[in-house]
Amino acid sequence: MLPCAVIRMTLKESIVDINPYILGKLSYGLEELKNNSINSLLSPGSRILYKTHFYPILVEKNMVHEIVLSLIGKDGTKHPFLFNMSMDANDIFLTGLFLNKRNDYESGLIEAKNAAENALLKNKELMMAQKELGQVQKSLEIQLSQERSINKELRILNKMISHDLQEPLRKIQLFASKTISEAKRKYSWEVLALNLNRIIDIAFEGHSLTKRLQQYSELEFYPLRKAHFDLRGIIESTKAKSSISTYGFYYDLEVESVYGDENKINLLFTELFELVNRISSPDHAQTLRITSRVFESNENVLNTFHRKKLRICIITHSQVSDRDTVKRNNSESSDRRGVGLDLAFCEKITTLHGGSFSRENIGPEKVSMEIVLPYVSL
Amino acid sequence: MIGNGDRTIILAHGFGCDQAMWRYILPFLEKHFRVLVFDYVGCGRSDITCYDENRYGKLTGYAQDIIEICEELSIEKAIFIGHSVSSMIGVLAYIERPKIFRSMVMICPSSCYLNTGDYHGGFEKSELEDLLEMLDSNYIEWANYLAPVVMKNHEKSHLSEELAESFCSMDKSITKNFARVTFFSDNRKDLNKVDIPCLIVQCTEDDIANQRVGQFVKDNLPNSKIVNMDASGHCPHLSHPQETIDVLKNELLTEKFLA
Repeated sequence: MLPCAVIRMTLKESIVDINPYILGKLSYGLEELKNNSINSLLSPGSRILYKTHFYPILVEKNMVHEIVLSLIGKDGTKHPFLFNMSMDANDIFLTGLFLNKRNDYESGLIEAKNAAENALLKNKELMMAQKELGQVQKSLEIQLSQERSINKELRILNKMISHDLQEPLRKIQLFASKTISEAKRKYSWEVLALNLNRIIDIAFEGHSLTKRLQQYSELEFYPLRKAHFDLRGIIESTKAKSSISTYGFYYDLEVESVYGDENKINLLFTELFELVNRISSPDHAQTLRITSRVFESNENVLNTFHRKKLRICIITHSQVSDRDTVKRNNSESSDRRGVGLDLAFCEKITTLHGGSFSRENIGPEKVSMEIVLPYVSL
Repeated sequence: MIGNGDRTIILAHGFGCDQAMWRYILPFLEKHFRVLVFDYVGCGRSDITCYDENRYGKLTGYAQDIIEICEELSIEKAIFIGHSVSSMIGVLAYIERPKIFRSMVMICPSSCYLNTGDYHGGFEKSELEDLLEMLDSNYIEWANYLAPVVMKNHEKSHLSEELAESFCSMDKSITKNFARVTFFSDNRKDLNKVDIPCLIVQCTEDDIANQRVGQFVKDNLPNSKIVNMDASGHCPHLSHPQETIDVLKNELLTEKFLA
């Protein structure tokens, strides 16, 4: 007896002959299987694999080597065999080796391999999760830093509001008390009217301040509409509308073209001149020196596009007014626009552009103000 | 794309092999039609780096392959021929992009392989799990199917060389995933969404998609016809190419299919 499995089938896969070795393993007699389809002997998984994968290869190559198929015995037991298959003009042949013990060993190997693969997969998933966690942490840190900066901004704003609003409220309180006590002392109506007018003015100042606060908070509601525009032109036009008293403007501009939202930069210079006006004495006038330079930022910016920055520096020198030489603007715009928040506006507008604003006293009556904006060449 | 003709035929292979499965009926089809043959991602000579476990964890991922190819090639109103699981992949692609399809031929289709309630799909869950075990036992051997091939069609020996390198060779994990998604999917409720003419080609003694399953598919497709072949098995276009060609000749070249 040949110690291996030999099966002969027709091209329609009907069993013609099976050798005694395999009949013994499966506990069948030849007559029970003759003319039956091979499919009746194959386990469901083997049947699908044979039909969908091995049969096409057999038709194509007339030969398939080393395939594992399980045959089902009469008692329902699965018997794994390692088969070679061949096909000729009339028949299909299967020759195979029983794999019982070897199969146990291979199953163990496959199990170990699957366990190793699963472990690798889990490791890969863990690494992915770790990577994702890292990204989440990074984005949280960015968020946190943004929130810190918003917090800082809010703290500064609160400080300014409380300071700037306290003053008109204190004055209202003062003049109201004065009015009441004067009314009690039966002063003339003229004095009462004067005090009431003062209160009205101060109330207007408070109202203007809250309006400016609204304007400030609306700054970031509208997206920036960036374009190139002329720096000197914008300074000159802003100066013309402001109430700043100057001895003169001196320019040293290496870069004349600025890239940004023209309206907002316009507002920035308006606020800047108000700031200059506010910090100088009423009887003083300013000499302004304005420079512009491009420089390479040392900040850790990934995009080289944003590494170049434009620094606009305004140095003001405050001197006692000489009525003959001082160029005084008669614009009333600032009288009616309210005071305060100018520094906050300057900082906000530059921040919105991805830049910064700073102010420094550099000597007696001398202040340096620096606007840094991302530089985009024409 | 090969062949001549005004109309386009899309040939979609089933689980276990690749576009090489169509070679025996291709000479007939390319005489009458422009024919699109392709490999799903993860099969045949497709770019395996495009395989995404999530996308191909559902048959809709494979349907998306068909849609993307047809959109890339501006194919509309085509006759779709799907073998085995590709019949349902075609159904899903039709539901998503009906304008691609004119009519469908389903060779040995099954809308669900699992037995559930009164429905006799042909397999119990444990039997399908046996398939996954068999895939494990056989994957080592698959690497060996790279031996030279003796092609029957000597005129296309260049094709033979190319195909010899790849015929039905597969990546183990991709094949296991494709097996899972093929044999554990249930598309019975999708059938009545297809209202274009459909032809079901049913083999005798098909142990994977039995005749009751073929009849179920026919009964649930509103505009369908079933043809029972003498051919046995699950791959008539490979085992009985002439009979398959005859069926296609009789049924495809009709007013209903070409309209």
